[in-house]
Order: sequence, then structure tokens, then C-alpha cells
Amino acid sequence: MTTALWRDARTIMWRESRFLLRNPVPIVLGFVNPVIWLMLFGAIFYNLARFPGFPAPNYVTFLVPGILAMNAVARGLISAFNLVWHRYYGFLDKVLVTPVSRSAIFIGQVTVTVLFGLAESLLIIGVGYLMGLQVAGGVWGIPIVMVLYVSLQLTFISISMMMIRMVPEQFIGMLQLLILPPVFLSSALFPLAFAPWLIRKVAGFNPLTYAVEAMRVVFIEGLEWEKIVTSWAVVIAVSGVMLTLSHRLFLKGVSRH
Amino acid sequence: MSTPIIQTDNLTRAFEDKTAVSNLSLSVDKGTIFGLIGANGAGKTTAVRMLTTLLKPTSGRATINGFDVRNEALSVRNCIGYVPQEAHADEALTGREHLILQGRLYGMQKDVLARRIDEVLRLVGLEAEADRRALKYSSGMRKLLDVAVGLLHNPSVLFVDEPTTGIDIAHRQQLLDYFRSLPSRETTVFLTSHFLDEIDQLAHRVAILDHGRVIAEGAPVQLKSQLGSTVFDITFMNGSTDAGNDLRLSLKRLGGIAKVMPVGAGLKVFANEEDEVLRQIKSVLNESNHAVRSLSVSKPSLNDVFYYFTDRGSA
Repeated sequence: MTTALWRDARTIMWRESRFLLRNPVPIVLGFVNPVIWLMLFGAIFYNLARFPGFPAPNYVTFLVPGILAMNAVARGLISAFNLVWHRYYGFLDKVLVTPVSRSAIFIGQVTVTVLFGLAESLLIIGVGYLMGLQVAGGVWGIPIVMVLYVSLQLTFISISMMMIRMVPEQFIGMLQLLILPPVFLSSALFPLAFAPWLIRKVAGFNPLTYAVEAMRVVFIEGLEWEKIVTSWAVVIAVSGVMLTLSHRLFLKGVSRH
Repeated sequence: MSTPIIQTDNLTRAFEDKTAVSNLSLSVDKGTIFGLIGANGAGKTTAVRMLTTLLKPTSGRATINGFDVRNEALSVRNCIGYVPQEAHADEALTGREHLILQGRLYGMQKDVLARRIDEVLRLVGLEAEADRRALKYSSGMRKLLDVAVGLLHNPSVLFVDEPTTGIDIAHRQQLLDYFRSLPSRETTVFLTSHFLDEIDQLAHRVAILDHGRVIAEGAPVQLKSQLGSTVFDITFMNGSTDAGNDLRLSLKRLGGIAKVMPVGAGLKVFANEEDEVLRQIKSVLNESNHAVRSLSVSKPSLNDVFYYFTDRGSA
């Protein structure tokens, strides 16, 4: 059973990798997007770093974790799009009449998204570095940030996979609805100390805030394990719960109705 | 030949607004070709989707190879192949990759799979196009690819929903010939179609589905014999069906006529005798004031069977 599960998951991943390699335009555009944000925000808020009490050596160092988090949200939320599309237009039926393990479809899709997430987070860090990102945590800080990125992304992949039964138009509508609030209700783009009371409170319940804060510790303060692990634990706990819930809803979504 | 490989017992599927399949009870023998025929919306696809474990029956039961479609779905999936009605290609994959995906999901060994892929590609005539992306295929080619996918793992039952939609005549005949050869290879074929001449050529047994119910079932020859020996098709110049009403009554009164029904812009007359009935029909038509465009005489076809049992003149 387990071997079949893993074999099927690998097959699904193979299929997904074909898709991503043959459709490089969305990948490239998806990468251009965070770079544009980095440049725009970096330019507009360049002087923010001069404010007394600004918590970073320069704005780019403050911003990169925010852009990483935003990218994790966007890439995570869109991850089920192919499956939604294929379910709605009938291609998924051809897969579902085979003895494929339904969980393998879930696992395969999540794994591919995570692998691409790792690559993309590395690229964003690289571009950030060229723009003046400082990494107090050194080279070993980079894989830590990538793990934080993926841990956060899992929550949003889960949300995406929960929407498996939506029609494509609904799914796109939900994407637009869901992408920005978690970003703005966190410390991704500006220090929470500068934000109104209500937003500060809401941000406290947002896993983005914890992921971003932990990344900032790595970039600004260095490998302060206690701070990093405490924040990471919150992020991964939320993702764990969401993944479990999402897996259950997904199985229900692709089963017979 | 006489073990049933597909058996359904009062299989029913209700949707919110209608009952698509109602108390379907069928038995299909191993190694035969079975045709489920019916108009659009008769419930054919719903029936196939239940049998292929894609849709849950509301009530009743069905078994494939002895496995219950409801409780033993995995075992059912292992022994069936499915060619859906609409040919949707995975936009990411080439034709060959579609087959690789399918073969891997059935756990086929790499070398066996590679050999089998070449075989099915040759069969559907897609060898030259195999390494192009299926996105670029015409709809007929996609259907051929679906057929190749359905046959890849040598299923014991192959479900084909509308086998030749969008396929050109040359490939169509080739495919039909292949389907005909399948039972000898221990594959049972379950076809649905509204191209009745096709089913007539192929199927050992057929069932006619109308509004979710089976209204006739049997071997095509047997069903056709129930209609009498001869079918007369009369069409009128003015194209109006109502005009034929009085004529229908006069024709019904003639001896040797089993049934008269309006079909499109004309009438279909089912009779048990040819020469005498033809003479009488001619005289009735001469006496009437209808301008007759044509009068043809033929042996009953499966199309006639369909009209006869569904009473669907305008279909």
C-alpha cells in the first residue's frame, strides 16, 4: 500500500513537472512579480529605514522576508489550480478510473509545489542580496529561511487543495479574495509598531507574522535559535492542522458524488 | 461465453432535478460486445460513470468481474478501461506521455509499458504524432489517444462512451474493426452510442435506454425481427407532419401493418409483408391529396428499432 502510494505520488509529480517545464511563462512571471515588488517597495519606502526605531539596517533587509511570505501565499494558493481545472473539465476522471491512490494525488501535488517553492525562495533571496540584503545568520541562515518559507506555504497549499470542487472561475475569484489580506494583516511590509491597534491584534493570529519575524531574526540578528524555533513552531503547527484538514476535504472532493 | 462479467441490478441514479438512470438491470456476458443506445440525455453516460466507479449509485447494485462497484471500487478499477465521451487532453503532455502516465498508474513494468505503448499507438495510428503535445491534436486524434489509453493495460472490460465522435471515416472503420476483434482477446466491450448503424455492426446485444429506463433489450437481429419484415418510409413534399395525421389513420386500418408512426417530415410504416402492403400503401397515397416526395422499402434497421420502441417520431 505504502509503496503504491509513493509510486503514484511520484507519477503525479512527474506529470506536474512536465507541466511546469513546458509552461515556463507562468513560472518566470511568478518570479518577476516578487522582484517588481522588491524594487517598487524598496524604492518607495527606501527612507523608512531612517526612522528612529526602524528594526533593520536597511529597508530591503526588512522587506525580503515580507516578499518571501507574500510569494509563499500566492504560490501556495494557486497550487491546486491544475487539479481544479482538470476535475472540472473531465481530465481528472481519466486518472480517477485508474487504481491510483487518491492520497497520492494530494501528496504529489503538495510535494511539487514545495520543491518549486524551495527553488523560488532561493531566487528571491539571491535577488534581494544583489539589492543590499544583509544576512546576519550567514550562509547557514539561508536554508533556515527556505524551511520557514515552505512551512508557511503549506498552510496556503492546504487552503488551495480544499477548493478542489470549485469551478475554475470560482477558484480564481477566491484567489483574488484570499491573496492580499493575510499579507497586509501581518508585519510583512511594515513594522507592526507603525500599524493601528486592530491590525496589530489580528496580525498576532496570522502565521505570516511568525514566519516573517523568524526570517527577520535570521537576516537581522543572526541564528538566534530560541526566537526562530518558537516562531517556526507556530507556523508549522498551523500548517500541520491545515494539511490534515485539507487532505480529508480533498479526498472527499475527488471521491464519487 | 455465458458468465456475466457485468451485472447490474436495479441500478439507479437520481440527481436533484431528475432521475438519470432508473432501475437499470443488465447482464453482459464475458467476451461480448454490448451496446447501450439512446438519445442524448437518455442516461447512457450516467450509467457508464456508475459502472466505472466515477459516480455513486443512488440505489441498486452493479458488479464488474464479480466486484461491487460501490464497495470494491479499487478491484473494479484494476480490471476496467474507460474511454470518456469528451476527449480532453492533458495540455502538458505529449501523446506518449499520456500513455506513460496511465501505464504507471496501473503499475505496469517499464519495459512492458514501452512495448505496449508502441502497440497501442500503432493500433490507433498515432505513431507519427506520439511525441507532439496532445494540446495540438485535433479532437479526433484526442479521441484516438483516449482509446489507446483505455486499451493500454489490457482491461477485461473496456467502456467506450460514444466511440467514434469526431473521428474521420478511415479511422472510424479501423477502430470499429478493432473493437470487433477485442472479444476474441478476452476483452468485453461496453459501448454507448447514438450512431445506431455502428452498434448494429458491432454489438452482440443491445439495450435501448429512454428517459433512464431500458425499454428493449436483446440481440440486434432479435429486436429487428420484432418489428416485422419490412419498413416503409414515406416523406412528403410540404414537410409538415400534421398533414400526415389522416393518412396515418387510413394506413393503420390496412391489413399486415403493425405500426405507423411520424418520423420527421414523414411516416414510418412497420409491416409483416412486403408486396401486398406496398400495393395498398400506394393506393392510399394516390387517393390522398398529399404530395409524396419519396417512398422507400427496406429491412428493419436498428434505427427503426429505436423509433419503434421509443415512439420518438421527431427524434
